[in-house]
Order: sequence, then C-alpha cells, then structure tokens
Amino acid sequence: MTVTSRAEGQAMAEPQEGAPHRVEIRGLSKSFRRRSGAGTIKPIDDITLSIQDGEFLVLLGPSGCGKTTLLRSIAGLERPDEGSISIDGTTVYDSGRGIFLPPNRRPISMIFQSYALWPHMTIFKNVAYPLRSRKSTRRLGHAEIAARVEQALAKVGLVGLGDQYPGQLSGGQQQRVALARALVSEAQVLLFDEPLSNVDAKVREELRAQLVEMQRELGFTAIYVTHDQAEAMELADRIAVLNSGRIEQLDPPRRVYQRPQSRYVAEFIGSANLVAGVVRSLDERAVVDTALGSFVIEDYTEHWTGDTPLGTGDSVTLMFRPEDCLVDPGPDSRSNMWDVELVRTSFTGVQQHLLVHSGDERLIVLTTNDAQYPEGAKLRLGVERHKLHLLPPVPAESGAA
Amino acid sequence: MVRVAVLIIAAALIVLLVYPIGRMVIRALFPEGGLDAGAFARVVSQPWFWPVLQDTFVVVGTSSVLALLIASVLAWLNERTDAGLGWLGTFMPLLPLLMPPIATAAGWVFLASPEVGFINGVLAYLPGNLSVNVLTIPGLIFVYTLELVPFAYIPISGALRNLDPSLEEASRVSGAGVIKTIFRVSLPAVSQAMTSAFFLLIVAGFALYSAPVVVGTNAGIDILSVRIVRLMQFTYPADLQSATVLATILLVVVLAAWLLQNVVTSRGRYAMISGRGSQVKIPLGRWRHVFRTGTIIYLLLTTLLPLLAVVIVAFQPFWTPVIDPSMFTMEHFERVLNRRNSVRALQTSVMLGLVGGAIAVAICVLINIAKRRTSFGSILGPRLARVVDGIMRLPAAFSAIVIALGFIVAFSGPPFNLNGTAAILLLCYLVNFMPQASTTVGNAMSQVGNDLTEASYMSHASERRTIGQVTVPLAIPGLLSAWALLFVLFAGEVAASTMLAGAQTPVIGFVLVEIWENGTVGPMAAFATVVTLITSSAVLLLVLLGRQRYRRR
Repeated sequence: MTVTSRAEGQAMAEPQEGAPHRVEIRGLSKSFRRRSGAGTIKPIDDITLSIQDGEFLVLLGPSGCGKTTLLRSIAGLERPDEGSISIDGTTVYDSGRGIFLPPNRRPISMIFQSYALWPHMTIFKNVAYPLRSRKSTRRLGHAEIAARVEQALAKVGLVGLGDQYPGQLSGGQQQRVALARALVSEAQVLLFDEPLSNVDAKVREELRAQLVEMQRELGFTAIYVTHDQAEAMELADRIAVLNSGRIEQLDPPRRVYQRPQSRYVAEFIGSANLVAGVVRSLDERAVVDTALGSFVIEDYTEHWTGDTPLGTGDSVTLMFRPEDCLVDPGPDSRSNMWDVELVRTSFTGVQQHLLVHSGDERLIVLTTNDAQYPEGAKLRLGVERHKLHLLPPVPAESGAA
Repeated sequence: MVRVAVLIIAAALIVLLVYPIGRMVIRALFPEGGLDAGAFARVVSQPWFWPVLQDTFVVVGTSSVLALLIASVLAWLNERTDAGLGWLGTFMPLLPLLMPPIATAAGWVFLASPEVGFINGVLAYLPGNLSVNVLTIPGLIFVYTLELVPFAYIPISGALRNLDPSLEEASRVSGAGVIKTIFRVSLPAVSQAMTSAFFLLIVAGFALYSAPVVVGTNAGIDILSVRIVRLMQFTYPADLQSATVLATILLVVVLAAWLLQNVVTSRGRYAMISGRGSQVKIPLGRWRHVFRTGTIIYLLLTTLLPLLAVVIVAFQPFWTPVIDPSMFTMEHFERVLNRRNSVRALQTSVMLGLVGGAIAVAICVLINIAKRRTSFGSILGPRLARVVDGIMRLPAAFSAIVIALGFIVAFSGPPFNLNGTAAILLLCYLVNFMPQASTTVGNAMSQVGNDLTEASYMSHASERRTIGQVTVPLAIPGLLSAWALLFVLFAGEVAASTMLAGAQTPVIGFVLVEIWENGTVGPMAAFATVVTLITSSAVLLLVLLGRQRYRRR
C-alpha cells in the first residue's frame, strides 16, 4: 500500500430510516501486528454495541483490553479492519462498502486524558476553534462566536478566563476548558478518553459529579473510557466491561455488580470470593460441593450466568461478595455456614476487613460489626442462599486481571 | 499536490547527489571513455600520494579514537553522574558552532605555534624548557580531536540518557563499585551507540577540511581533503583528473564507514529504553568537583581559548606572544572591512544562510507533513516515506569536498555553466546539509504531541487547518532554531565554498582560506572575529528560540 485513498470519506452514507440509536457498532474488529516478534493482537474483536440517545455508556477494563482503541475507532482516529459504525444514523465507517468518514466530519466531540488544549491559543481561541472549523458555523460573526464561547465557558463554570493561556490554569480548570471546547459545537455524542485520570483525587470527584449533572441537563450521549471501576459505577447508565477486545458484560452498574457474567467481571468490579465446586443436585435449588462444604443456592437459574443450562455434575465457580458474608450468624439462620480461621483484620472505620482461611481457600469478609477478633480465632461464616452466584468455571491460565 | 512536490524534491535531491558524483567517478575511472586505470596509476605514482594517505589515516584514526574516549567520558559525566553541568551540559554540543571551525583551527595556531604561540609565551616565564607545538602530527591530531568530539558526544549522550538507571542501581546494590558498574553495565549497554559513533567520527574526520587547511598547511602536513582542493585551486591549470581520483578514494573510505555505521545502528537496540526517565545520578563524592572542573576546563579549552587567541591577534598590530592591550588597534578590521571582497563575502554568505536555511526548513517541513500517518491515510505510504527518508540522509555518506567536486564536474561546464555562481553554492549547501536539516526539523515537528492534532480533528478541523493552525504554529520555535542552525552551517562552510565560490561570488569560507593562504594573519583574525560574532549571535538565538515557550502538562 502506497497511498490510501482520501476520497473514501466523500462517499457519505445516506441516513438510515428512523435510526433508533445514537451510535450503532456492528461486528467491529481491528488487529495490529506486534512490533517485534510474531503474531497479532486484536484490540477490538468482533464488537457489536448500540448506544441509546442520551445514554452514558462507560467502557471499562484494564489497560490493553481495547477500550481506547474502540473509542478511537468511533472517533475516526483509528481505522478498524472490519465491521461498521454509524452515528446519528449516518454510516461513518463500513468496511464492506468502503466508507470511512474522517474524524473531523463526524458529528462528535472528544475529551482527552491530556486535556490536549493548544498552548499557543488563549482559552477563548481554544473554545472558539471548533466553531471556526465547522462548515455550519464557520461564517458566524464575531459577536455570535463570542456569545457561544461565553455560554460554553459558563456551562463549565469558567467565566472570565477567556484571555488566559492553558498553561496558566490548573489541571482541573484545563479539563473544564476541554469540556467547554467539546460542548461548544453542540455535538450530540461526546467521547471521553480517561479524562479524569490526570487530575488529583479531590478535583476528580468534583468534576465527576459535575459531569453527571451536565449530562443529565444537556442530554448528550456519552461514551466514556476508564479503568477505574468506582468511576464507572458512578457515571454509567450502562457499563461495557471489556476483556481482550471483547465485551464481557454490558449492563447497568447495579446489575454488573450483582450479577457478574464471569469470573473476570466479578473480580474486576468490586472484590469477590471465588470457590471452585461441582453441582451435586438440582431442583428449585442447587446444591454445590466445594472444598468448604456443600452450598445451597436458592432459585439457582437466577444466579447461574452460564450460556447453557446447568446440569448435575458440572463444574462451576461459586462467587459471593465479601459484604454478603455473615460472621457468626445465629443457629437458626437459613444461610450456608462453614468454619474458618481468622488470618488478619484491618479496621477502616465504617467496616472491618477480615482475611480468613479454610483449608487452602482464602476469603475476604467485610463486616460492619466492630467486634474484635484475635488473630487465629475460629469463626463461623454464613452466606444467605440467594447471595450466592454460580459462574462458569474458568480455565486456570485465564484468570482475571 | 504535496505528494507530487515531495516526490519532485526527493528526485531532485537524488539527481543533485548521484549525477555529479557519478560523473566524477566516471571521470576518474573512464577518463577517455574506456575503463582506464591510467589516471589512478598516475596519481598513485606521485611522490606525495602515499605520505598523504598515511598522514590522513594516522590523523583521522587516532583522533577518532581519542574523540570517542573524550566524548564518552563527558557524556557519562554529564548524563549519569552528579558531576553534570546541567544547562551548560546540554549546551555542550552546540559550543563548537559558536565559532566557524576554521577560526577555531586558526585560534590553535595562534595559541600553540612554536615561539610565537600565546601558550609558549606564557610557558617561557615558567621554569623548565616547556613548549607546545601544534604544527606537528600530534598537534594536528589534537585539533582534529577537539573538532570531532561533538559528533560522538551527541549520539552517546542520547544513548546514556535513555539507559534505564535501575540497571546501574541494580549493579551498585549488588555490591559492584562505580568503576565496575561502568565497565560491566553502563558501557556494554551503550556499546552499540559507541560503535556507531566511531564510524560517524571516521566519516566526519575524513570530511574535515578547516583544521588541516589551517594547521596542516602551516605544518607541512598534507591531508587528503586539502590535497583535493589544492589540486583544483592552486594548481594551474587545475588538475581535475587527479582531484577526481583522490575524491573517489575519499568517497570509498567515507561511504564504507557510513555503511558500517548504518549496519551497526540498524542491528536491533539493546533492551534498555525504559519509559520513565528517572533522573537518578551516580554520586561521585569528592571526585565530583574534580570532574566538574575538568569538564569546565575542557569547555574553556575548546571554545574560549581559541576565540580569545583569534580576537587578540585581530586587535594586535602584529601577532606576538606579548599581549599588550595598549597597543591594540582596529587597523585589521578596517583593512578587512574595506576590502570589497570580504564585505561581499559576508553579504553573500548571510544571504545564502538565510535563504538557503529557509528553503531547507521548508522542504523538510513539507516532507514531514507528507510522512505523517493518521487515520486519514498518509500522503506517502510507509515504504515510500522510508525511501524519501533515506534520500534525505544520504548526503551524510559523502563529504562536502566530494559533493563539491562532483558539482564542478557536472555543472560548471555547458549546458549549465554554473561555475562561480551563487546558485551552485546554494544547491551544494542544500544537498550537503540536508541530513542535518531533516533531523532538526523532524525533532521540531515531533515535539507537537499527537493529542494536540487529534484534538483539532475532533474539533471538526480539516487536515489543512490542523497543520496551519496547530502543527506548524506549535513547531515554530523548533523550526526557527533549525533555521538558525542551518544558517550557521551554511555561513561557516569552508570546504565546498573554497572550490565553488568564485571572484564574483566570494563567501566567508572562501575569503577566510584566501586570506590565510596569503599569510596575513591579522586581517584573517579580524575577519574571523566578525564572522564569529555573526554566527554566535545566530547560535544564541537558536538556543533562546529552542526553549519551550509553552508550559506543557
């Protein structure tokens, strides 16, 4: 390949009838050849994803899971190899039809991790830049542009800083300017590439809250990349958990936490106790044998995340959250109960973390009771029957990150 | 359109490089049409041939080794230990640019000539019969070494800067001392850079012209590069035949060293680059001050001392080791600046430097833009971009003398008839300094982060607008400093200038050599002082402009 055609982008696609989604991704794939050595990596592996109008979608995963490449493909900063992307009913990329709309002609804005403000322009010029670039607003008069810039700066709470240069602002302020620059062109889809990971913790929280508020108010559609699960939980309408280029689970935060589809998701979001087991019997409830003893799971079909129906004798992974563990429940409890030995405790104020073991299994327990247990104490743990989850067994080598 | 322009430029560059040198080699090998080793045989049988070759190899070889050693030590001190000079240290590679190399060489003649040298003047007051003499083979090697050190310092300090300090720390923690750490860890890790630097020194050493023409001529030591020019310039009629033969020999040696250097560089890097550039420096304890003083003395020696010598000789009515400020006079300045020849040389050189430098920067910016790879696609595909890159770097494989001689063979006669014009000088400078232009412009452009251009695309700006509003404005400090560098290189060029400039278009290098050859040291020193003033202001500008003006997070 010597030259890649720049004319492809000209073939603007016709809007589809009654587009139900803001952003529609179908069968998207991209692979890179590794720089040294053999083999390829697939940062995007056959992803299909629809994003609703006004939705706040978070792409979550550890570094290298493909979330940034996916975002950059939506932006048009990367060319995928296969699949299609449409935004606002306009096909911006379609491998089959050879469509690639360059990033500047896609109806989107983007906020970068490094803020990416132009240091040689004032804040005003930075924010006015999209207006002066875009065909539809290029010929606006001075006054009109000034008014719109002021408006955008007001939205992010930075009135009166127009004459400053980015270098004179704090990190948090710079990111607000970047936000104003993204908002000024009134794009309906905003892309966020880990925008808060460069600002310090306190400002981060503040900006996060502001972002949620602003999104509810202005109603833009947001696609937000982060590796911070707390951030994802707070911001998202839905979280897409990515694992080596694939969407492992796509659900609202609550569901992702309570009903993780896999061990990878369970471990990435919150902490999880995982115990290998074998199904002994199934009726309304399931009985699973593990190294800790037998566990009874109520309404097991609700708690089984595998694709195929569960059968007797199947291997499974039993998962329960540390905060769902009960320490020394009463004898009349209908919980699953077993004996453990305390290894260590750490007290955080609201809760205490207990690290316990039973045989080879190590478990984490979170409890709000402030009873003091000596190390080595024998405890009895319980987990209610509907707080247990059954996940497919994971081959040993592909444990979660 | 950019693509066409870039391809035309690349084609022009390769034509300007290959055609003249090709004609020259053909002329050397096939003087009368058929293959004829007669010209070679005639040159080889000359009584001066073997001594010239021997002296050249001895001087270049020895000084390359010495320069490599000095550069390595300086680079290590400055990059890896707490004896570094910080800001002054980063300025070090630029120091030799302050003065045109020919002025530095003249400065050493003024300092260390037998009897009349300033150093000998001082030594005469000391007990013992001490004296120094630069007009000897060791003296010439000394001057060569000083001029060559920066060529090795730049790549070696770069490699050391990228060396992961934890490697050294691990060695220290494991109980190895500083010396052991240097030889077991630091040196092996940068051995590739050092090997590559050595070949670079050979390339630069054979191309060096100013030191041998100034020192060697006075000492009666004949060096290959000077002999080539002499055959053209001071033999009547010009012995083009012998010159082409010698230039072909020079070409083969330099090309071989250059190829070796490329082989070494391309053979995979050691796994030593770590992303975090933690600045842990090796503490040298008490030795720190010793080494720091040594570095400063070295810097003074290489720049201030010869500069001082040149300035003093320029003001002295006649060159004498007895420095008496009350005798100082402006007469040499007046004499030199009243010569039409030298004034025109200043004008022509400044003009060529400004215009030529700007053209070179513009060409490199254009090529850089064409090479960029974005999701839009790139104007040049990756393979073509590599080819263009190679062409831009190719002139480094030929020395200025070879290129200039090729230009004489190819363009001085009909149909071009460019002999002695500003055009032939401009073209020759452009070709000769294209590698430096390409590197500095490339660095300037790459300082503009990808995010900043991507943010522009995401703000609905086209590629053209992005280049015009974001990329180029942000690169401007770096581009200006590249322009200043090229100005200094163009204005201080001597070897090609001596051969290509004529009486109608004298340039600085040409006039300096001319005055020197006439044996009038006072006016030469005065002229060199004026030139130094011009070039060092340009370097100063370069340093000021090169500083990042914007605060980046």
